[in-house]
Amino acid sequence: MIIHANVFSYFIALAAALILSLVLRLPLLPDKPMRNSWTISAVFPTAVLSVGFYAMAYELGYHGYLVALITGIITALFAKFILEKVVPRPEGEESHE
Amino acid sequence: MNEILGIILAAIISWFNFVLIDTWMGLPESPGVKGAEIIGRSIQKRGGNLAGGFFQGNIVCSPDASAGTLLASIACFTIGTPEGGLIAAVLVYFGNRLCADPGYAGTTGALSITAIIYLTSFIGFKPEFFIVGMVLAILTIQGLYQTGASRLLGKLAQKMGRYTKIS
Amino acid sequence: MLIEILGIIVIIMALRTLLAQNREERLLCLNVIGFSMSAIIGLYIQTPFGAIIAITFFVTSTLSSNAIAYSLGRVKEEIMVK
Repeated sequence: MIIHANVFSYFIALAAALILSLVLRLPLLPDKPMRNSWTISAVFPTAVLSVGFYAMAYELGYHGYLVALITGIITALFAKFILEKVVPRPEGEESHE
Repeated sequence: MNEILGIILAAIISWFNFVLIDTWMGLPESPGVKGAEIIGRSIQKRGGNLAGGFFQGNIVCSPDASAGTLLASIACFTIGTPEGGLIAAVLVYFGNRLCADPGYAGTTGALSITAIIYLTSFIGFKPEFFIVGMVLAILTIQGLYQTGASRLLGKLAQKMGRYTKIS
Repeated sequence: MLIEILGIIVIIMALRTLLAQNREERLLCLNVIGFSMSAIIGLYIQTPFGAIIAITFFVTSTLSSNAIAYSLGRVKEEIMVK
């Protein structure tokens, strides 16, 4: 199989985000049943956001392992501190899906 | 890969991608918001299945795996595989949260179709096929025969243990 | 050719909307049009900017369908309460 030269960078971004988010004491998995849970966890959405943000950085021209590492770190910090303020969990009438 | 054949196959693949993921993520179980409930009840009144109606209502009211599939295909076409799909997954996640949905269905749909687009690219499939294919797939669920589609979705929900407990 | 196929779907769904018996049925047909228009935007503007526009259009059209469906529900509720 042909491997993208930068697959390893994605792994770095993913691993950095996962490890840092666990260090920052985000739960590993959301509460069960997972599909209805609003908790921000290490696997979701931090892992998804980390590879997504690195993809954005890659398309903007920033390649390389260091960029991946920084992206992973920023994603974990973003998920822990800023995400809840940007997309607050809705209360009351509008319930979960 | 011939274009028409590719589009039809991509439509079938996208159909399964979003229907299975959405059913697994509980769309037939309950209306996420009041809007989905009104659509579900309307489908039921016209002779359809309530769980299928909730599924269809949830598609209208919030980005779900169908949105994730479509937007990831568009992103893979314009930006490239897999970067496009990964970016689309992030944007779908934020779109979901804006619509009062936790975001699992949309991002899962986007990521899975990105993987499928990547793998099928080795046998001649292009992301464009999945863009048109996904629109054809949603046409079969929301557009053509709504009550019939709801009954099919209801049966699938029953098989996967996601049937609604509301009556 | 792809954009033509999507355009035909839009026109068929628009006509189907006329045949609908109630507003909820119309909402479902309009939803297909939203998907199709988003796809046409992406296929026409073939750049990453096109993808951003297509995604933004789709999410915002979902938001407006959400608002419409919610209001339909509230209206029905109020009619029943009265």
